[in-house]
Amino acid sequence: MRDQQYVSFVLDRHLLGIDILLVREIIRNVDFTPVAKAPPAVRGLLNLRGQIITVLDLGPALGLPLREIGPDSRCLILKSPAETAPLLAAGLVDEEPVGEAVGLLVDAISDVVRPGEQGVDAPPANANGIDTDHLRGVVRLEDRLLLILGLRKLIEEGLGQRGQVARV
Amino acid sequence: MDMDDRELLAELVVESQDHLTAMEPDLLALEKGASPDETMELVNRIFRGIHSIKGGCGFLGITSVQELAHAMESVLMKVRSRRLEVTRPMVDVLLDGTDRVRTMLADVANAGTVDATDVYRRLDPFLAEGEAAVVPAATEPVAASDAAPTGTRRSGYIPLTTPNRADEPEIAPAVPDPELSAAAAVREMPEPAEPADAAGVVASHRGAAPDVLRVKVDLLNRLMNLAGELVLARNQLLQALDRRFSETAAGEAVFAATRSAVAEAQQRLREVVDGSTGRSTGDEAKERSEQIERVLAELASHIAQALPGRLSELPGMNATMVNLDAVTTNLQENIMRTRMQSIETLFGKLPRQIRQLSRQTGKEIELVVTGNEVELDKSIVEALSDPLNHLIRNSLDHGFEAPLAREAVGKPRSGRLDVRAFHEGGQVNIEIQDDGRGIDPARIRAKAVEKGIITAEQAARLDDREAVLLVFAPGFSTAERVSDISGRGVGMDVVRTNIESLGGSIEIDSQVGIGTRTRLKLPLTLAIIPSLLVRACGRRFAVPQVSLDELVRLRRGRDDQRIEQVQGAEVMRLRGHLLPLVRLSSLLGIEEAGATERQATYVAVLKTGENRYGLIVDEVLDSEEIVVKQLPGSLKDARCYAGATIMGDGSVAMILDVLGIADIAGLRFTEIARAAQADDSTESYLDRTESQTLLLFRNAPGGERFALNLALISRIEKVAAGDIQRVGSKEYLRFQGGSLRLLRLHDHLPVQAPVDEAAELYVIIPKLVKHPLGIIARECEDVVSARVEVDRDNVRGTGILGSGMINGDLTVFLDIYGLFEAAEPEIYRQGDRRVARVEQARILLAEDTSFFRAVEKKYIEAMGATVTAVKDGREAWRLLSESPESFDMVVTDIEMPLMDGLELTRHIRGSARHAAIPVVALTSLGSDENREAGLAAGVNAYEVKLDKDRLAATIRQVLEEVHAHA
Repeated sequence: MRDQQYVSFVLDRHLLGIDILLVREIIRNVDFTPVAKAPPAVRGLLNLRGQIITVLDLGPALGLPLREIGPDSRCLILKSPAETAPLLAAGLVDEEPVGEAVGLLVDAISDVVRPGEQGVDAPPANANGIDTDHLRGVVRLEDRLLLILGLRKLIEEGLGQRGQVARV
Repeated sequence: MDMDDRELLAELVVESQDHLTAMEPDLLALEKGASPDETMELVNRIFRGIHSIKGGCGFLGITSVQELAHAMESVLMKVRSRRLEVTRPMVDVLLDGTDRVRTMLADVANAGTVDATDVYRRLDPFLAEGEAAVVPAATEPVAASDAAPTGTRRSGYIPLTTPNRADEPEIAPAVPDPELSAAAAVREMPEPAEPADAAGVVASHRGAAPDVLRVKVDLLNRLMNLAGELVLARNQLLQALDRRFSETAAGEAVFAATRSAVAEAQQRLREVVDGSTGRSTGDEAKERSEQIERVLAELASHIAQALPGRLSELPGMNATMVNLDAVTTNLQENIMRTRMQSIETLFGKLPRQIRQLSRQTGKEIELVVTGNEVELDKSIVEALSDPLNHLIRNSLDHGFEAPLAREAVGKPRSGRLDVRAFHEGGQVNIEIQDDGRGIDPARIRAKAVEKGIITAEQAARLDDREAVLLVFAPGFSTAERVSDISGRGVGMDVVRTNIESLGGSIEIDSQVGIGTRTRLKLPLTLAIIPSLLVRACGRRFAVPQVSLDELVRLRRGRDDQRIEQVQGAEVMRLRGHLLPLVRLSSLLGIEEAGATERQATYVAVLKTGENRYGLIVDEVLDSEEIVVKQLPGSLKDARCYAGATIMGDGSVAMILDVLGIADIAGLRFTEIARAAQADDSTESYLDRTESQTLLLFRNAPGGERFALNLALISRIEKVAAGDIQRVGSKEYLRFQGGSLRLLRLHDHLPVQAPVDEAAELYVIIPKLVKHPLGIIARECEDVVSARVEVDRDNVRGTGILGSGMINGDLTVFLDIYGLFEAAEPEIYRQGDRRVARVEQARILLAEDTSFFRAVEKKYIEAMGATVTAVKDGREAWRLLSESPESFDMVVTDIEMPLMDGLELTRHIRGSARHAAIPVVALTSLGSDENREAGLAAGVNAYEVKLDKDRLAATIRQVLEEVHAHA
């Protein structure tokens, strides 16, 4: 088992985490173009060096309000399927990414967490109101809980593609 | 299978498919019959192709393909050795064989499950046939065959000995493999030169082939993206520099002002100090003043040092930017070109298709394909396959008559189908032309009525051309019965939708009894499209230019541009027709709460097929070539976007889907609207909408009121009656050092003459005519700006354009050209070559922005003129120099690279051959400065871009003027 690392971030009052290997980069530019008629969680489109990124707000899928843009707002750009494929093949990650280029809009970025020997616990039945369906586990930090998210379903839900898996 | 093998396999499949594709036309040619030499050449080529496939598949253990290829190869070998004649059944089975191989390759993993027994069964006779003939001479080969382990079930062809050999050469053997050489030894014994020949052909073939490398589309797409990024970076850099320049300029101005203020203060102080020296008001004050002066001097020197560095002082900055610009554009174009595919990919399939279809229909067709080399973006080529297929099937099914029917009407038995591809005006045209029975408008009308697409009354109103267009109506299919070939429920409407979704258009031209020609116009690429940027509620959107018909600016207080409500929907009258409207902001649900109606709003008139609607936006920003980025999947359901693009400032803008928006808005384009649009171009709308500035005057007090467009008047002189001199029956006025002939309207027109002679008169001197005549007026009443509908019927006669109501009074519009012609027939004779009628005019359009070029071309063409469009002044001048007689007018942009519009005009005016060609200059900014520069250079008229009506009016007017003038 590799030494798992998680990028932790703040969404509303929660500290959430995703596998660092799924993240391509974190950018400060949240100056996205809003797109009318898009699913509510799709906040808009962003130009990342010529690539169009769909900026997704995980709020609605997690039962939280939409993000307010503030000075600490960041966008977590996820890796594309092509980038994740080798990791998947090597068994380093076990989540298939969605087909489109997605950036997660978050309220703030926190530390990279390395649970180490302590490991990741199974998710509790109810983690501060977040549906257990979306959780892969919990890391007990000194002062609070880090909720590890399962991304695929969340993202599909956010993109309005639940049930119809998009793959490129 | 390891990674290497997988890649090899993918490579092999692609390569084998290429071979199959190349073999097909050769097989067809073989069937058609060729000279023995040609036949041999064809057979050799096909043989090499199938042999390569066999070798490759053998190497990777795809035995089913290998065996089938081997069987086919064996038949070909017999043809090569002249033991078999090429027959139609042979070509048939070989074609089927290539199909079967294709099927196997399509799913290599399951190639073995594809059943090919029928092909083998049909191949066997040929194999057996040749064998029989060979036997007598074949003692040795039989032994060779016997010696080889027979691992195959079928007999009659040479068995495979080593199915998995790595060293098998790819193309026909320079060093033949054992089994082949055994075969060669047997079959080609009588002609020992043959193998060497084959090898020679291969070698020369290889030498001549262009250097080609297979590149993954994926990689090209990435390169394309990078080039796009580079373009963006360049744009951003240019913008930043631009800002910096203006900041620097502004900064300099501030510094200069500060400096002069300080200098002034110094000077004043000096004066005060100097002035006070004589007095005894105290040295203290003087000392203080001197201190202040020192401080000021110091300040001045600081300011001088702090002057911002000028960008323009960076050596070579400008040249570098120009260079970067050029390289970037060039790079992008070239990368785009790598995505281009020749249309042969599609056309290459036609012979086979025609062959099959003509058999099914019992029709005889001769196919003539031209323009195989024309290239299009890969994605367009791919998307074109179905529509092209459909059109070809249509021709075969409905277009061509049966051979007997053709003979009965005196046509050759076999029909001719021309398929052409060619470039025209930056687009690719594809034409499909048959010499069949043509589309019968009467039948189309009847069908359309029968299917309830239009009413009988509407059908009667349509002219034949419009009737033919009904084939594009949804739900229309002329097939009397659903046939196997076309008419499978996919109609021409689908074809048109497909073509339009590619940014193209389709036209049909048909003559009963003679044939039908369908023309597709397609863009070269979908990756970069010209577009118009608009803004609604602060957001920017791109509208593909191909869907844009025209722009209308709504101004307040213009009744003719009012937005009206019809059954709860907003519409606008455009040239007398109702145009359904869609408010972009409401449609997208992005209206700002409490936003009041804006002062100036634009309506972009968009077209989808036969229909048009107006999209109301707040602002029209610019036209730009945009790089189309695929729409993220999550936005596809919105249906109102065709894609996304990245703007010069790095932000994302959505590309609007013109058809989708019409759908969402639920626009119902009624037949009435459509019928109304059909007669849209019928003329005279210009007269209705044109706003003119008119001089109103009278020839006699209380007589008729006349109007003359101010644009036609050079000046109005007030003269004393005594200054007019008579020579014979003619009157003259001394004017600008010469004499000007005068005319009185009542001498030439049936109008009231003044009863007495006034002491003072007005002389109206027209401009833009070669031999001006002064028109004598008794009273100059007013100058008004009015939109008048000129009635040409009420008051008519030579020298009269017509009549109209101005401020409630009937006014006669003068036609000075007609008038002058009547007055001085010797000078104003009709004998000129230049055309006055716009419909016959040939216009050279110079415009560097492709968007404007396309729009202006369309505008002018809509008037009926022929337009040749070029990209800059230099090209225009080249064309003019080559054939000065080819153009009746030049319409030019002012700002252009290489040679701008002013320089072009100066060239034209400076050349004796061209001096008479009228020039209309276009600009996006109607500044007076520009106008003056243009007039100084010698343009006849100056017009603002994209004002369709005014441009049309100006062109008409200038042509008429020049006509009169010549």
